[in-house]
Amino acid sequence: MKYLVSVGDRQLELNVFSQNQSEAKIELNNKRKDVELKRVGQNYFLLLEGRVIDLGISGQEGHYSVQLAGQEYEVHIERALLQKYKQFLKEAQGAISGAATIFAPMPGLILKIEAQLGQSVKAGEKLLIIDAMKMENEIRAPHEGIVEKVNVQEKQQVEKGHLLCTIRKAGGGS
Amino acid sequence: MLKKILVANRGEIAVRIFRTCKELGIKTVAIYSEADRGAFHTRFADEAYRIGPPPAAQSYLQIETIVSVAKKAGCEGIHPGYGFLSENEDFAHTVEAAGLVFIGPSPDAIKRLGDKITARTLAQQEQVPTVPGVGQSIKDFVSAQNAAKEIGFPILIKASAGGGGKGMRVVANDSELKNALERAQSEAHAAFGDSTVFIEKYIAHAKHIEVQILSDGKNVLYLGERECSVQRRHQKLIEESPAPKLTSVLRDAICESAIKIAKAARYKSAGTVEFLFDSEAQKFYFLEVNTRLQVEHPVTEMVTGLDIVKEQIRIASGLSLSFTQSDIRPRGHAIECRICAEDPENNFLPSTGLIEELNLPTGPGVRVDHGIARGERVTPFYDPLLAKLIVWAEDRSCAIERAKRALEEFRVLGVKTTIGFHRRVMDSGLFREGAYTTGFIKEFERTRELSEDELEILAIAAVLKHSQEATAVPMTTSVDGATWKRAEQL
Repeated sequence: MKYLVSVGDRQLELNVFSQNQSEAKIELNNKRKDVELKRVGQNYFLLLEGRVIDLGISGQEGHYSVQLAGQEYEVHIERALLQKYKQFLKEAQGAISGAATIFAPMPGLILKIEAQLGQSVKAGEKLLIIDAMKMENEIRAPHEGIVEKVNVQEKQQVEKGHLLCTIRKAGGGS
Repeated sequence: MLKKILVANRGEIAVRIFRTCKELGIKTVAIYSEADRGAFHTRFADEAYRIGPPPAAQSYLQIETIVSVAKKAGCEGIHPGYGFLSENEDFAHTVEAAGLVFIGPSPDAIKRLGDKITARTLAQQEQVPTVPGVGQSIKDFVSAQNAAKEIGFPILIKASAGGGGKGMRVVANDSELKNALERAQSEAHAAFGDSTVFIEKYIAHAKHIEVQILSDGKNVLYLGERECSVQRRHQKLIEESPAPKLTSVLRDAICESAIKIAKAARYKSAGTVEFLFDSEAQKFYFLEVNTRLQVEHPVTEMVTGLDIVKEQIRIASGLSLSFTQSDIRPRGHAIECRICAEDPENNFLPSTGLIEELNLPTGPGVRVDHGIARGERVTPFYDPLLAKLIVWAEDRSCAIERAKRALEEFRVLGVKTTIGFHRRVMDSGLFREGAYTTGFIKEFERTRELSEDELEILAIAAVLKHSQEATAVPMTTSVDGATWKRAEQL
């Protein structure tokens, strides 16, 4: 089975021929390798042709945080065919929308909302303030536009990734 | 010696204090908020009592509740740790009024030194140089504008009651002043219940050097200095001792200045006198006094071999210091890396979640002070500090190599942490050379090119993990290896 692996902007194709419990035969960059991945808790040991590599892996279903030698990497994998299909869809959808959605970069308490509905804002203008771990963090507009939607209220507790507001680019399509 | 102590804190520092108490045969009492039910620190004490809901203002900052819990539990003393009520003079006062011992300086010394404006004046009286600035409280925009004009931009707005970088803002020009003043005042009010701020010249490329002092009321000693210039948001991330690139003449001068200030304030207990060191001009300026145990105190413990918490408790019990200045002979080099639940790739924003896995480094010269355990949740209510890695070695370059090794052993899964950042700092030429300043994080090249070999390893590991998920009988997100066992049985 063919997989497409991405780490940041780097990509790699990897083919798994056979898998038997922790062991597998793979092909990578035209080279066949026998590999083994053993698990203890969420610590993993990769045995790679004599090398022993200690890793930490969290996440599931194709989205993983992998820790290697003190560094953490976001690794995404997809079946190669599925990835091609998704890419096609993404390109088709691109450029249709002109709005930026702003999500909470961290969990916290909405301390103050500066941006009013319908207000026009400049790039870098303050939209709201989130209090997280006793620090006040300013959320600013990524680009110029009109505040189209404000999805939170002051004193509201939000999780990371909560939709805060939407800024429509001036002159952008609807 | 005190027989039973309540620690009015949580996390790693509560655990740290309990450990010393245990060694001294002192009974211990923990307190916890509803968010900290069953938390790591509560398991280290002989008794634990719930004191209120998650927000600190309703739990760890509740003076009356904490003191009454201590009384009811039959404690003789309270250790405040750092943060929370540690530099709150009312707290120290209430503790003493209840007939308990406050393990720290007197309420009077906290007042004199804890207020940054008064401390500044005291330093000037002792002929210790201070950062150019206006040593008066700034209440409104107009007086802020006047002060800025007098000093000249860039300026630094600081909370008079401040600490931990809260209520602090660097202002580059007039247009930013109003907003920065409001934020600083509001943060100061939220954190310390006091919105008083003052203004100093902002010295962009200075080293942050501080002196650990210890006083039993009669003898004031210094335990050497620490350099803490690697900071984000004016909060320290890496500390080391001795300070690299500091001549012994200047080291002595800085330490002597710290002693002068402590003596003038009739200081008793452990404390830290902070200085800014302009390495170009080779000049130092008094910054502030922290009238409490510091987060980074283990760095000094590693080079001196002393237990600062033990000394604090002995002094609070009325005992004299059992050693003199000449007995203190720092040896080797120590470095501390603060492991915080933050995302260094995303401006060090806090990260919360479940600790899915926790591997702590061990081995020669390695100490870890931590306040979390696997299976616990990091909540947004408190400081993001999860653990401190402290390494000791015979010299600085060996200490850096040891820190690298230990950081590679250190693993926290489930939240973003500063581990990877620290590991890259240990490779940074600027850090290794030792001439770094408080501007370090901005100058530091944080991205690191992934090698072809690393990319292959990540790809193989992720794909194998994925295909193992597929062959395992779905048991969802087990963290105890059960999924794996099932897969092996197939």
